[in-house]
Amino acid sequence: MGVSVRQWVLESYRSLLGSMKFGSKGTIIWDSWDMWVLEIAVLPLAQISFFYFLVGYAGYSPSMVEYVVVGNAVQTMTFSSVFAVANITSSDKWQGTLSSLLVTPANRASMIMGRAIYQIIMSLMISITGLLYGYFLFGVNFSSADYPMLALSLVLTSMSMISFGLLISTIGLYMRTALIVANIFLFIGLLVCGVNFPVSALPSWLQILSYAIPLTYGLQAIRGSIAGASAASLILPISQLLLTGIIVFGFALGLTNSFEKLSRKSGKMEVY
Amino acid sequence: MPEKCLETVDLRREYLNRSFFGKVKSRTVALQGLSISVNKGELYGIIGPNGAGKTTTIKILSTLLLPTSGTAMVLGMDVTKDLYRIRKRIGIVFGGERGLYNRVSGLQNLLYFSDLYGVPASVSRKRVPELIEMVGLSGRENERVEKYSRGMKQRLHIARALVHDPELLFLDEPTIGLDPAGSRNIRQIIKSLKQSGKSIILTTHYMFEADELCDRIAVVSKGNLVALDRPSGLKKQVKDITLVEIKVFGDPENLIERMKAESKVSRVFSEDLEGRTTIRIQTPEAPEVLEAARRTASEYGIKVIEASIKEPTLEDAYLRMVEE
Repeated sequence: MGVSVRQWVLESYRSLLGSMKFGSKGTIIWDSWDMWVLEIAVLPLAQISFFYFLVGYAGYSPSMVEYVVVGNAVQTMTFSSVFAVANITSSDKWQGTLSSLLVTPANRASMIMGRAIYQIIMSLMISITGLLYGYFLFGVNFSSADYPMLALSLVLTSMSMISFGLLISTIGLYMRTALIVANIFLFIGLLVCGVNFPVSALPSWLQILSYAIPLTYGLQAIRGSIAGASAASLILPISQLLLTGIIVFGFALGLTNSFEKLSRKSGKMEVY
Repeated sequence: MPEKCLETVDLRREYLNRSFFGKVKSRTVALQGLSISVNKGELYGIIGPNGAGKTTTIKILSTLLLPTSGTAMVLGMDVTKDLYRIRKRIGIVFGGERGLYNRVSGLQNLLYFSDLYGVPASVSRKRVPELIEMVGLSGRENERVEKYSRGMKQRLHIARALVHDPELLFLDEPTIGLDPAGSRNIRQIIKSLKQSGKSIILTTHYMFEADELCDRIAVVSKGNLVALDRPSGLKKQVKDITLVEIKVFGDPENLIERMKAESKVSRVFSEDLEGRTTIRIQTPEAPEVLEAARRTASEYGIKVIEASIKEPTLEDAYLRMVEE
């Protein structure tokens, strides 16, 4: 006898909502204002400054400097959308709460998603702060910006990157920690997604990886929105962003159950 | 015939340690074919030394671990197949301080787990305060868990395992590391849970606890069931021996060695506490051995504080079983 669809939906909803409410309080270390200031205000400033002065030293043109500033302002969102989300299972292992969670009948996808949703807001705040730094401190020109399209692109980029975070987080169900994979992903993102230089500058075999990561399309859409590109020209990168985000999300859902089963088989659920 | 709430048949679990290339480097057998059966409403103890397989058994029965072979049925359902339905009807308490969200309050921990168990809000609004009251956390429920004492955390663990009102509870060393008052508190809660009709599986290292609480006790050693009986029945198994208990001041090493060498002595155990040593000697000839012990202590200038003949305890039965 299985569970009825209605019951499944209701319980998944409760687990999603409960995890959403809980995610911002119980499972992250940013529970005091100083942590917030560091993550939202200092982190993007530090990263943008590093690359701004680096490309200034390397003699980039002003338009390329702007390219780098916008790229890094958006890329910093991966600290929250990918790194923090990937850390969900690892932090539960570390706190010893993973077994208590996995012994509940809760839908795993809704449970982890609920905990991750809060990070959409966090990652948006980080990127918006980064773009404000770009405007006020680093000379990014927003005079032609299409703000509704910019907002849409930022939200979709954040959501798509959360999918990547979820995918990496599922690995933590089986491996000791998902954080190493998340760390590697942060640097792969910097390298291949067009953050500091166009994807076309990469070898063609590496571009395959670029176009598998939603951040690449997100950056195209965001840069286009800031430059005031027509809505029609933004439809393609936004559609690609949405599609890769959905594909990665699907993988994450599928892998959650597989990795949980593997951890039950290997007995590594609590190993951290 | 009492209704069963749990049954395992020939349950086996191996842990494999693999190399980077997947080759099996070593194999640890945690359970070697454990068969147990627990009746509905029973408080069933599992005792055994470290590494005996107690926690592995609990993990398999609570669906957190797959057995290598054998079967385990919980509330009539297979632990490898009916995960969802089993999880809805069981609760688990892990011993120790970990396993709670420390940065939020006890109340928030309970409400979160109520959500994960799919408990309707109307029910959890009533049940959660009742549980807080039951485990004695009233007035402290809004404090962050990181401010709780170890005993309070353990009581919160119990409350959390009860948010969905499970029929079967697994308590994995629930009093580990607690002070005597805290342990007694937990034992009272366990007794009241049994009285309310819940079936309970309890693992513990403390023999007096198993003796006080359990209807039946399974003694496991090296992944095997070595004895199963009521506490009184287990104690009867060591009726052939009596105990000489001597409490001494000073270095007891010579006395212990001499007593071990006595032909009428089966075993000698000792425990040091604040400069005093309690020596327990298992023997079928207690009066004679007691005299020999007094004489030997005197020879070595060891001060005897107290010396008496005692009835064997569950601990004596346990020690004999796990050592055989």
